Amino acid sequence: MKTLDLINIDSFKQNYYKALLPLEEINAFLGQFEERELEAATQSLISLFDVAITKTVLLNLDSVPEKQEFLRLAQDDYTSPAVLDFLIDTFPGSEELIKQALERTLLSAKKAIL
Amino acid sequence: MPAVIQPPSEKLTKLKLFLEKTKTDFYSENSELADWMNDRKLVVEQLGVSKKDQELQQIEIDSVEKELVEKLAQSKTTDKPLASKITKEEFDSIMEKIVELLKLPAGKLEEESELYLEQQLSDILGFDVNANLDGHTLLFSTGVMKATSHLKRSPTDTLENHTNYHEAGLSLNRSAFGWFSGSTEIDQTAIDQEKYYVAVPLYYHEDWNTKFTELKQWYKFRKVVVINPAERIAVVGVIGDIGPSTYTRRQFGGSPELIHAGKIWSPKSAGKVLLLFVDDPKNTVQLGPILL
Repeated sequence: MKTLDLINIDSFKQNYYKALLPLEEINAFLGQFEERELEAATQSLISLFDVAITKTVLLNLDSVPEKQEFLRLAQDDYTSPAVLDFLIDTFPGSEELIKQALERTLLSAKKAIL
Repeated sequence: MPAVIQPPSEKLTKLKLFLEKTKTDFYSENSELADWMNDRKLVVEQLGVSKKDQELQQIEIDSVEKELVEKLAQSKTTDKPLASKITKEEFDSIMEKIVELLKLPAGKLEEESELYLEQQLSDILGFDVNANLDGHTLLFSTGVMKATSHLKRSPTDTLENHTNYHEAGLSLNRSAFGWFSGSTEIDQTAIDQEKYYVAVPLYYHEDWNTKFTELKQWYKFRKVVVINPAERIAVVGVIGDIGPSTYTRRQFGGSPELIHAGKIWSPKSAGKVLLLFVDDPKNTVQLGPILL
């Protein structure tokens, strides 16, 4: 298995949910790709997480204005803790929800590449 | 056993296809936000990309990734391998040879290099490429490509009608070859041709003053392939405009999409490309990027 040093961890830190990422599992997943494709696989996985997390969050926000507020915050600064703070304030259990979504997405990605 | 050059692995292709599906699902499930997001140019899959890097990432997201996935999905369904039968060592050697050739002053290839590259690149790409087609040759086969603006596809076309890279602007004039579309309705062919157009300095052709009508007709929307050996990407496009002028010290122009998709902007490439005709009498070669 590749060590964590072999994957571009910095790429996974450009978001507000970085603390919730299952890095060991991500590392194992990326270890399945050829080295020449590591960067492309990393970028695809990041996009996949972003889409999946956003989808989950939007699904759990009640109103369109709330959804727009979340997207506005995310677009302004995707790395800002203010995004997660807004989600936690808006509905409890956001962190757990995102964590589950990340694990679910990674599992789906694993199945998809079989 | 020698290695065989292949497009992205099956795993990567599957991952990209899965991403595409996830994106499609997301946008269809959140259609009530589509206009609002569109107005803000908010692209969910780009949220994690810093603004500084967004332009660089755009190529993966908008052009190469999407179209490559489509191409690979298609090649898979038709069971037509994109892979060539040359070894990895041969492939590296070909790319290095082109890189070395591009270090020389812009111009035509020597006959020996021309024949060698035509043969090898045709094998790699899976379709015929030529420096000489129907007795026509480009003034330059090697040179530097500059980024150009979008072109009006019809008299009523506006910049907003173009999907990507509005920052590139829209040329005030139509292409030297005329409109891409015969009417105000812009069909897919016109969209694709403008999207991946190349400009070549046809005005400097030795017979231009006497045979410009004939030459213009032959070169108009003629399919070409732009090879960027530094990034190992090829882009199939069409000759869609005439230029640039010699004082620019550039030999080719490329549409915004072509420049991005071919990574011709990259520091490693420095705009240096090889340009060849695509011999495609049955019009079966699709326009767009190909990962070599």
